[in-house]
Formats: sequence, C-alpha cells, structure tokens
Amino acid sequence: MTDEDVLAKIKASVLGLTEEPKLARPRRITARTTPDKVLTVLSGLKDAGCRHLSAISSVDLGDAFEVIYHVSVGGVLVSLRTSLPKATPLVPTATGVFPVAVLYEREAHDLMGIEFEGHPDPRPLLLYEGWPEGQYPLRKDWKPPTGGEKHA
Amino acid sequence: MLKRLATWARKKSPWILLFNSGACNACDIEVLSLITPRFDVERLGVLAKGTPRHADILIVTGPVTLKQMERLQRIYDQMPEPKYVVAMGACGALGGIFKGLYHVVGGVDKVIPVDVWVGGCPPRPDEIIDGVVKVLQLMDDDAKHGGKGWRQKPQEVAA
Amino acid sequence: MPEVEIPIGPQHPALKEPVNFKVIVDGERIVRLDLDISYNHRGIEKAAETRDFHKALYLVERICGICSHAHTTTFAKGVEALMGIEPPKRAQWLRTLVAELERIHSHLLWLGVAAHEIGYNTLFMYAWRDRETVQDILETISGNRVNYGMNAIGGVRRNISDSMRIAILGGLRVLSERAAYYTQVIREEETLLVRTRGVGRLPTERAVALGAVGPVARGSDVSFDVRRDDPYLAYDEVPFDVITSTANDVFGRVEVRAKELVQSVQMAIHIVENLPEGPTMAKAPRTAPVGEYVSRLEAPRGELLYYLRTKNTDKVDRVGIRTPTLANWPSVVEAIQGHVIADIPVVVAAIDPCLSCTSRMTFVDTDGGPKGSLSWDDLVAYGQKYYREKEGLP
Repeated sequence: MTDEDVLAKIKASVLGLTEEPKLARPRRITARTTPDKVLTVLSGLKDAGCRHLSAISSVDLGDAFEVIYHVSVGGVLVSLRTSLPKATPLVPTATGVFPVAVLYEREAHDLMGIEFEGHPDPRPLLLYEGWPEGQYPLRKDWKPPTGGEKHA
Repeated sequence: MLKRLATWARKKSPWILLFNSGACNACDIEVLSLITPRFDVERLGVLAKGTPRHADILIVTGPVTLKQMERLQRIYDQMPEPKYVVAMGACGALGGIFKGLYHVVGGVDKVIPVDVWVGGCPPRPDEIIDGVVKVLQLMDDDAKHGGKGWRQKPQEVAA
Repeated sequence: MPEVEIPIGPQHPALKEPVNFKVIVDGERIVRLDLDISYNHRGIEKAAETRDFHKALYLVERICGICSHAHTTTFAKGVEALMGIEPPKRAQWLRTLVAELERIHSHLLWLGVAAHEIGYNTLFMYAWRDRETVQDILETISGNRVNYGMNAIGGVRRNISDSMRIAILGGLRVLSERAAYYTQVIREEETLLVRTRGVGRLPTERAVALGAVGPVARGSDVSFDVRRDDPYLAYDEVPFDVITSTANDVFGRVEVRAKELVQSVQMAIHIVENLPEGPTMAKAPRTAPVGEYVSRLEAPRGELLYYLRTKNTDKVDRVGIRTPTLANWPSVVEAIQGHVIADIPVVVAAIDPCLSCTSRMTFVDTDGGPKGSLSWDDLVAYGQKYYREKEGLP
C-alpha cells in the first residue's frame, strides 16, 4: 500500500482519533488521540493493516508528557501520539494489542516514569538495581545526584 | 610484534580473562580477533580462560557501568596474586565518550588498580598485543623486584 | 512447577556484551526466559541532548561497535531530513557501500560466533579469517577497522580513489567465493543441521504478532526489509532482493543471513563499479528547525529506528533509539518455549543479539533441588554433548 492508501484507510476505518491524520512526510503519517482511546485507535490501526509496532517513544514536553506509538505496514509508518499530564502520566498498556510493547513500555517507565496501567511485568529494564526509585533520568528537570562528575 | 610476544609468552604463557564492563563491543571484537587465524596468539601460549581463579591478566573493556561496578570488583578479588589489569581503550581509561553519563562510573581505575592502559577507540589488534607485551614485561620486572612496590607512583613522576 | 535456581558464572573468553538471563525450567524443559539488559545501559539518549549534532554523531556511533555505521547513518539522515538538506549522490552511494560492508562483516562475525556456540570451531576460525578481508576494505576506505567515522551531517568524510577501487574490488571478489562456500556449508554440514533444523520454531503469524525484525522475521517468511519498503540512501537504485526462508526456525535465520552475505557482496561490487562522480558533502546549517522525524534503517540485525525532535538549536531535543535486538527478544522467548536447556545457546545466538550472552544465566527450577552453577562455556559444552549423544555422533 502507498502512504496515500494507508492514510485513506485510516481516515475511513479507524475510530477514536481526535484530529485529522496527516501525511507529514513521504511514508510518515501522524495521528493523535487521548489516553482513554489509545487502545481503540491501536486496534483500529492494526486492523487497517499496521500490524507491526516498531517502537514507543516517550517525550517530556515541559508542560506535559507525550507517548508516541510508531506502527507500520511495510514502509509506511504511522506515529500515534497522546498527551499525558505531568502529575499523572498514566496510559493503558498496549501489550494486549501488540505483545512486543511489553519491553518498550518497561523502558518508557524506567527512564521517563510513564505509567502503563495493566502492564504484566512492570520491572525496570535498563537501570540497575541500585538506581534510586522515582528518579527518571530522561525527564528534562532531572538532575544527577550531587557529587561525582559533571553530567555530560 | 608477534615475535616479541612469542618470546614473552614462552616464558610466561599468560592466561587472560576478558571482562566487558558495559562496552560497545568494538574493543571486545578486536581482542577476539587476536585468537583468530590472522593474529593467532594462542599458538604463542596466550590463552583465554573462563574463570578469574586461573587468570593472570584481566582485560577490561567498557567505561564501567553502575551495574557492572560490583561484579568487576568481585572478579578482581577472586583472582590470585600476582594479578594484572589492562584497561582497554578510551573507555577503560576515563570512560571515553561516555564519560559523565548517568549510568557510567567512568574508567576502570575508579574501581580496581590498573597496570597498563591501551589507548584507542578501539585499539587495533597490534596495539592490544603491544599492551599484552607491556604487561608481560611488567610481570617480569615486578618478579625481579619482589612485587609491585618498586613502581613509581604518578605523583612522584610529576614532581 | 518445580523451580531450581542455578546461577551461571559470568566470564567467558569469547566476549560480546554482558546480559543476564533467568531461565525458568520444569525439569529439562524451558518454561520462561527473562532478560536483564541493564549491564550496558550508559545513558546515551540523555547525553545526546547536551551535545551538538556533530558530537552526538560520535556518541551514537559507539552504541554498538559492530553496527556503528548503521547508527550514525540513521541519525545523520534523520537530522538532514529535519534540516531539509540532501547529501550529494556520491555520498549516498558511499554510505550505502559502507552499510553493506558492515552487513558483511556483521554476518561473518555472527556466523563465526554461532558456529563456536555449537562447537564448530573450524567454521568460527574460517569466518573470522575471512572477516579480516572486510576489515581491510573498511580500513582502506575510512582509516579504521572498527568505528569508521564515515558520516558527517551532510555527507561522508571520506572518498575513494581509483586505486582504492581496484583494491576494494579485489577483496570483494575473494569474499564472493567465500560467501558462496558458506552457503554450501550451512546446507550440508551435519553438525549445523542437527542443531538448527526444527529448533526455535517461530511461525510467520507469531513473528508478525511479536514484532520481529530483520533476519529473524525473514527467517520466518515475513517479507519486511527497510531497504526495500522505506527506501533510503542508494537502495532505490542498487538491485537487490528481500531474502526470506520458509523454514520458520533457527535454520531459517541462518539461511537468510548466509544468502544476505552473498547478496551484500554483490551489492558492494555493484556500488563500487557504478559509483557516481561528484562531491561528497552538502553544506549543513548549524541548527535544525523545530520538527520531528522518524528515521528507519535496515541494520544487519533488523529495523533500527530513531525518533528525533529538534527545536531550532544545534542539538536534538529528544532522540529515542529502538535497536533491533530489543524488537526480537519476545520472539526468542517464544521460540525457546518447550525446548531443552541445550538449545538455549543456539536459539539466542540465532537472533544475533547485540547484547552478549556472555554473562549470567540463572536457571530457576522450583523444586528446591540442588543449586549449581553453570558458566556460558559449560552451557555451550552441555549443549554440544547433549546433541552428540542424541544423534549418536562421535
């Protein structure tokens, strides 16, 4: 399918989007939804042909967090984003729709502190066991603990 | 360079233990190249050993991540004297390009004493062999002096 | 379910990165496989936010010393897309050449290590000896055997002369013969076939559902290759096929890599013979405007993905990197279900992990039985012995 085909299919069949999906660049579609509708949209995208979850990105925008699900069909990548409040960055787990999300969500939790409700195995993935709880290094306001080298 | 190694190895037949403290793998594959046909250090008596209890020389790659810090210490403690440590590459020296990153200690000698540093990112196999030869030389010199105590400390050299 | 914990000692002379596995077994059969990859987490994504694009390039190059060019290319082309610049043709072709050379060296490296895991040391030595030819070619082009530093924002930092072309083609012709030899070996060698056929089964449907990428996916007949599906660099002009296998098991993954090895050599020859003339660098601005882009690339191990955000500065605001091995891990976990412990080295090696199996393997078998310790070496030796006895081989 060409990126135009994929876009048309999404517009026609995927429910729960809060904005018109757009072709941002060749083979790159962006879409948006709210946290409560994420699973609906992800299932819809999957049914529309996007059966591969390539990655889940987490971003600290300063005034909010953003979680972006990158799903694809062949070369066409759809980036579905949702905004989460800073105080309670909570979104349902996508593992029921895309099993590979199990590791990507652990990473987003570990480094950015996003909570994935219902995750079957919410253990740290990358930070070692001695890492202090509640310290999320990818957050913009995170500072390394005092003492030691200047953070590069 | 291989001839020098052969001379030394015949005297000592060093057993080497490789420890990856969180490296990108570049140093590790260059060390591994040494036992493959082009360099083939095993025929010179240099052996890679699996356990710390039998090793003479510990080669450490990586900048030492927080996760590996304790294990590195433990491996070193398990080695019998006389034991020698080679820190590989820019990472082994000061953490390399990863210096200051939040999950990195930054340099092998922040955790255990180091005898030889081999520079590079990664060092080439011939530079690694050079490093091994230096260690063997050091082992010989130390034996002659009855231990490591005779070696000049860095601050004495600076003065 | 009986669970016994057997911690495995860490040290192994054959490198690769440290990782900790926890295997839950029921007697001999594996029930679950857990992964601990914190051993070489360094904090690269965070560090990239405080380094300008040029410095960040050197940083991401060292995420992995085996597929370093894949990382810098994905990053560079992503930043270039955000800047709205396009490297000149010759630069794109040179990037492609090094990418395919990297695939060759990576597959040979994997072939050797995988052979070593099943006790086939001769093959390990042959593969790594032949790999030296690739290292020499890469050194001729870039000045370094590993971490070649080819890329800059806007193009490539090195060029190849006519005399270099002759030398490179000579090396590639040797590799062509060797690659053909390896495809023959994997089809005929009894030791290899016994350990790979029917092992680590992953049906096509499951490979798709579990998000598998690269040779793992293609070895289960999933026709997905970023070079064809989301073309970049010179891949829309250099002829190649997407190689798949219907074996849907470890042998399938082996077969795909062996054939890719042959093909990458052919592609490299084609690139050197048809290299367009022209400059090798486009002028890059100092900053990138506000924007967002997902850059994808087919690394030797599979789809590599960089999520990039820029905000009108000379640094990324955010870079999110998803490496192929992470994508393939759930497939390993599924493929190893019901297998015996002896199969672990092979099934894990079959995904060509860019994190090492060198480190701990904790076996958890719950009947409170005797605790033992197994090094990776012991495990590999156990696997070899198990299969020799099983097949009545000497």
